[in-house]
Amino acid sequence: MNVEIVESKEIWNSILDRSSNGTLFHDLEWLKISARYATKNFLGKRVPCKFYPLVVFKGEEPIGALPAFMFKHAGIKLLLSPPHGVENYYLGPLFVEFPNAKRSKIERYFLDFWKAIDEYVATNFSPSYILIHTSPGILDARPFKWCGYYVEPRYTYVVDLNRRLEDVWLQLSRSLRRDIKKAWKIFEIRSAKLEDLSALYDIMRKRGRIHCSLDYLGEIFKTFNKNIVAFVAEFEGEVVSGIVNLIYRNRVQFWIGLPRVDLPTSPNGSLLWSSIEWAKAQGYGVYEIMSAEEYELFPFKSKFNANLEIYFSVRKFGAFARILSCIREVVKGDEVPR
Amino acid sequence: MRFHAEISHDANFWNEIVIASEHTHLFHRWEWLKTVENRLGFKFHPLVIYKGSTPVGIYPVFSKSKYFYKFAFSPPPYTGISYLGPALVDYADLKEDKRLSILKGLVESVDKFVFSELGASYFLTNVSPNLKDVRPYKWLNYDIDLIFHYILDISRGVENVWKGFKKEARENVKKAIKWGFKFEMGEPDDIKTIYEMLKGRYKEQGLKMKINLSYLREICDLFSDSIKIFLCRRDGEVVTGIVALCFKDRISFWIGGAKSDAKYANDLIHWEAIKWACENGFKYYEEFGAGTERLARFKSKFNPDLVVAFSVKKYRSFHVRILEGIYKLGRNYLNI
Repeated sequence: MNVEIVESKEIWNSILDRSSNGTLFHDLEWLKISARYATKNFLGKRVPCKFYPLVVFKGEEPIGALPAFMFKHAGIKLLLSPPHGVENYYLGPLFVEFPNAKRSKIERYFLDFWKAIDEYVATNFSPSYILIHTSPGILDARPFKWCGYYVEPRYTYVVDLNRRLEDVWLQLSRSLRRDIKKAWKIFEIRSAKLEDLSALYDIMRKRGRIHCSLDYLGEIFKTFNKNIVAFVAEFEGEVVSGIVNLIYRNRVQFWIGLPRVDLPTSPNGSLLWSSIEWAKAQGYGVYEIMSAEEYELFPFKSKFNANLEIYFSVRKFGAFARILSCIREVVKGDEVPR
Repeated sequence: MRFHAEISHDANFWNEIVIASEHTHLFHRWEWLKTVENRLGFKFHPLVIYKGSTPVGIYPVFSKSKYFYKFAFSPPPYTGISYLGPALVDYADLKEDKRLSILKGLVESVDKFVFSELGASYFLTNVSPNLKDVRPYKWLNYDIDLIFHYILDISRGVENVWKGFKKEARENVKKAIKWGFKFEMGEPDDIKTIYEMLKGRYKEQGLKMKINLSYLREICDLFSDSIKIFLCRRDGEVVTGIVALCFKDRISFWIGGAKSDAKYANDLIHWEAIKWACENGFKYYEEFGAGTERLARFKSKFNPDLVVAFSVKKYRSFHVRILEGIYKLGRNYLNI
């Protein structure tokens, strides 16, 4: 297997189309926009990144890819996928499906694919630290471990829409259903226009719930307007909250939005429900409430009683970064997670 | 409502939960756990977790003191127990918000028991592959590691399972038959032969077999109805053997199958064990441990599904983490 940096949209998309774990974040256009806006705070300095679309070939056939983003500053090199500052929860490798192959063969290919990537990255970039969040759909995390990466599970919530909407509604916790009904009487929930975006962005920024630039969001909205559906909640004529959903394949995903609202009743449950209703009406099979990780948000998100889907956080340290990380753990003290 | 963990010595009540819960294996049975305590010198803490006055699950915890430290495990090392940890009642029937709140309450109350009441410095749990949500452990700053197993759906019948095998595995089975290997069911006493073969294989690799034979014998006697031994002979000599655990609708390849000069015998014995399991109404053939590259390559020949499970651990302080690192270094590189 050999690895190449491939700029060809045709090759990249042929991999994406054949990868069951492909997401809208893996679209080459999205990645290029991300590369222009992604920044990482390095010792007080905002550092931009360089994007490497790595493709693995088995003979002539492309079998997988890794969108890699490299941040360099003061001799430290970070390889990230997804990059920081673009509000992507996951990205990581794409791996094509082999519909007629037995599992042992697929496992072998995936291992060889990852070994090729790992070797290429070490030889050509020698990063101090690698951090990848894979997209849901990759279950075999062994190749990462066998190549010396630390792997941890992460979770996202998925609502199965291949049921009657009434059944999805009844699956919601009773208190959430009550809150949604209450919100319907107080707020106007409507489709968002482009100009609502900056109002929503400002609210989220104040709450510290968004870390990308408005220009980045604007460019994503412009480029992917067919893949985005957004709703806002108005109270007394003013936008107080909103939700931005992404559409890809059979799935609609809550991407950004739902900031805390300083009112006795929150419209956020009803905004999310409106998105689910919309996805169901349009015939999509899955609604994803992205990220089931944050401890602070679980009381809200878990009330939708969605199913958990696993993805992985995969990291590897260079020797220097490993020492730094150990020092950090000693300084930080007891019971720190690795 | 508040959660709390309580020690319970009611074996019948414990075993009722073991049967009812989807997170259990034969390892969770009261008799197995007491054997570990009596034979291997670990203190057993049979925890039942209550929400108010309602039991929501069990959590078998073992502890051992060494060098001024107390270590807590579920399961303890060198017991041949692949996973243990929490077993919840009626978990699958609950909605996600209730599931999470009960799991969180259970994990928090056991964490409190282990670190506050027991005063442990270290706590490790290998959770059941059926328990996928380890967020409550993450939120309590546990380290999470991944463990892999294989599971083969044998409910689709012997012929389909055979067709699913990799060609190499089918060829190997045919060769083994042609070369005169004979399969037979073993007796509990045959554990000794399998043990000796494993010990020999470990020695070849410069490793020590740390599991105790008398403990294994006692387990095999105790669970003679649920433990099956499969042997492969050539010219009357046992060339390989495996021990399998039967629990609910699955049969799990537990120990044995040491690599030997009898090429292809292990392919045959797995195939015969799978056939036996199909004929006796089991739905799943489980293979513990798919996380080692070499072993995974052998086991994947039978075309099983990969199962991801989790191992969680927490240290009271950073120096305990360093001690564990030194211990592992000694174990892996100096074979202490």
